[in-house]
Amino acid sequence: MNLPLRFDHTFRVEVIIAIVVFGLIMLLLLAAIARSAVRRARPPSQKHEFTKTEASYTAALAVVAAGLVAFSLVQNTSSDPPPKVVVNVTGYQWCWRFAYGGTHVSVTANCVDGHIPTLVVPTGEVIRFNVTSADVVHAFWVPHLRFKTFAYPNFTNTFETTIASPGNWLGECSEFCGLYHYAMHFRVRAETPAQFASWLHQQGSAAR
Amino acid sequence: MTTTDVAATHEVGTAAAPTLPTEARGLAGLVTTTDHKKIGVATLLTALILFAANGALALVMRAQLAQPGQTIVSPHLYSELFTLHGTGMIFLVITPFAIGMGVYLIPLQVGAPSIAAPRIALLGYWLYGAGAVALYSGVFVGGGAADTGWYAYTPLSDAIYSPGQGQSLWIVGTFLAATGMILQAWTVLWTAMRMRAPGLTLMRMSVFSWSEVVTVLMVIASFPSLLVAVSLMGAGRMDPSIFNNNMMNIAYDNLFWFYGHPVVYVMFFPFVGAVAESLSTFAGKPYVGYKFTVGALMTFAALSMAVWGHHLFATGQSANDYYSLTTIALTVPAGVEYFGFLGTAITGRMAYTTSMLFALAFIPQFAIGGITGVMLGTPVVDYHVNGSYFVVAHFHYTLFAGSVFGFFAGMYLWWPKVTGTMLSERLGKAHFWLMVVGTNATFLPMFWSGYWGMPRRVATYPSSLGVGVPNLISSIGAGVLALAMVVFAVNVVRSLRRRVPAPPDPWGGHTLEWATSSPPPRFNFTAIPPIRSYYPLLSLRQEQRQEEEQALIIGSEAG
Repeated sequence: MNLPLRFDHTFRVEVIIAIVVFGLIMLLLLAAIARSAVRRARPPSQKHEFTKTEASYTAALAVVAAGLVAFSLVQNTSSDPPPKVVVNVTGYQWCWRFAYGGTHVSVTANCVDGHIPTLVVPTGEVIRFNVTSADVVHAFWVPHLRFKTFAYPNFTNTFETTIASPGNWLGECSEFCGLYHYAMHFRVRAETPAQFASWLHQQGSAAR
Repeated sequence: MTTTDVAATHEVGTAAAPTLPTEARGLAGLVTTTDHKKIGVATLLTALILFAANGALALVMRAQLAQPGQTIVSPHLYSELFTLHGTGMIFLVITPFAIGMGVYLIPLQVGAPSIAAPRIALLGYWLYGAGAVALYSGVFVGGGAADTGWYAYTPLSDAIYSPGQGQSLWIVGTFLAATGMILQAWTVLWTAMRMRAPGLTLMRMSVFSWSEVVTVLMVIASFPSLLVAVSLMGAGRMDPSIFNNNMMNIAYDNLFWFYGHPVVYVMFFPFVGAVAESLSTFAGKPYVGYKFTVGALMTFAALSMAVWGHHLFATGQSANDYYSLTTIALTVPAGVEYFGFLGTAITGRMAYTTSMLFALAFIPQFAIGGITGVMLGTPVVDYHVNGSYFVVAHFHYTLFAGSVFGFFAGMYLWWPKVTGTMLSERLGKAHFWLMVVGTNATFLPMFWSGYWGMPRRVATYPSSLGVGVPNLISSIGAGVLALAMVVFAVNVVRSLRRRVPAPPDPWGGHTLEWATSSPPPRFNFTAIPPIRSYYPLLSLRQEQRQEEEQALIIGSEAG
């Protein structure tokens, strides 16, 4: 699942709907102000029940809401082929550890004075993240991926993604976890599969 | 005192003026009275003072965040600031605004001489006050006030990760204040259900009264869950090992949000009611779509009990698709409410008082909060923006651009009734325009900050994140808001000192509170007018006009 693509698609549709709805409300409000000014001399109409209009409007709303629900649910389904790379992510007060499944490779730092860990991943391959916490609740967020998941202690969250092209992005903790929550950053570096393989190999020999 | 009080309650309006029980005057009277109006004023006044205090905390936060990498306050102090700001505004300001307005206005709007169980309402105020004292006293204890955010997830809030006494005081404070609000809610519900004047059927209650009824229903149904949640946290502060089990942590989250989502509508509906009253009064016509609006309020309240899981989309431990369905379903009753707002504005003839301006601005501003709420109710979107400034922007549009604007619509509408003095319209309009500019300058840029990657509750952020500009605009906006509040304070002080007397009905009101003096006498009414609709006073004026026209016709025929 290309998470940014899925997010962008869903978000764009909802932003368009939002603009239309907001525009409609503003238009009606301005119409009310204009109509009020034009009819200044006449006493206001005392009619206050528009049962048919209201009933059909409510029905129309229900149809739109049903459409939105269906859209939301369809977007939220995903199926991925088995992952090529598994990264076990552990959040702790106040930094991150990334351990690569099936290897002895693990990356960490202390998140103090810009010493933040780098999560290296291959492009174009399905990556599975197992996210957990060693102490309090954290959240693993990579804004570029348009995705986050919480890191609970004694519980593991799993998600899969592919990253289309190489790059270097910031990752953050997005659930308040205490004093240095604001500094709990990491870097994500996406490399070609060949580069990634050689990086992993190099780290593996260093670890041994 | 008890017997006199009860006897007087039944006599008023039917017999000679009753002997009034002696009550203390001034501040002491305010906190020992059984008069619902004074209990209401005490609740609203306390909340208003705390509103200013919590707003000041926000100003410090906006100063700290104005530029990346600043160190005006320490990370620890920053954590205390946002915890007190959030907890204070939600538990001790906007909820008491919502319930306190009901305590003051519901007996008047239903034509009752007092509130049901006034001593319970007063006890509710005391518990609320005691809760506020407990919560803020955290700043004086070792380790400082609570610093884990307003929803204070476990295990961060247990005794290992938050060893100071501040978090324990937070539990005491929220427990007491929430209990106080439950008690006041019951008295409001009882008054509306059992003490309505003859002729005032359920479907003749004002829109504001209905909004209070559904509000207090939600309080009664959801606040106990908060008591259980903070008790669980209390247990965890005695024995933190209980949070070694994931089930306990996710149980806390669910218990908290089972309270935490309905409370969002508790902090919203009474202000919808205030906006509705303002709109219909200043459009000079009955509120449009009354039956559908009442139905929408009830539906909204029922659904509000089934959406809490949308706060947990990113936890991986919630039925996301189900909660997405219930959340998006809320657009139906919300849309019906908008029919009432816009329908009344379009078909009426509007007079632009300060109250009306706040009510009109509420409509599009709250819509921004509502529409972004649908986005957050879509799991795929929430996975990105959950826990970011996008959410901060969203709920400030609902609570500030929405509820606080509705609160001020009500404030300018009912101020003459409550105090017997008039506020300055000129200062009121200055207050309004500063609020509009300040609100949108502060909260609109936060959508971008969050979208571009700024998490909530960060004491500072790196310049590389690229959110310096929106943050600076937000901070400038906060300064404008502070200025707006100063103008409001000046208006209040000036009004109380000059005492321009308010007539019983300065606006041509529709509901019963305008049929008595300003401020109303101890037992509210000397006579109750006939009630034939949900806009009884307007009905009387309509009938009078018809009679006059009839008389004219008969006169001309006779001539």
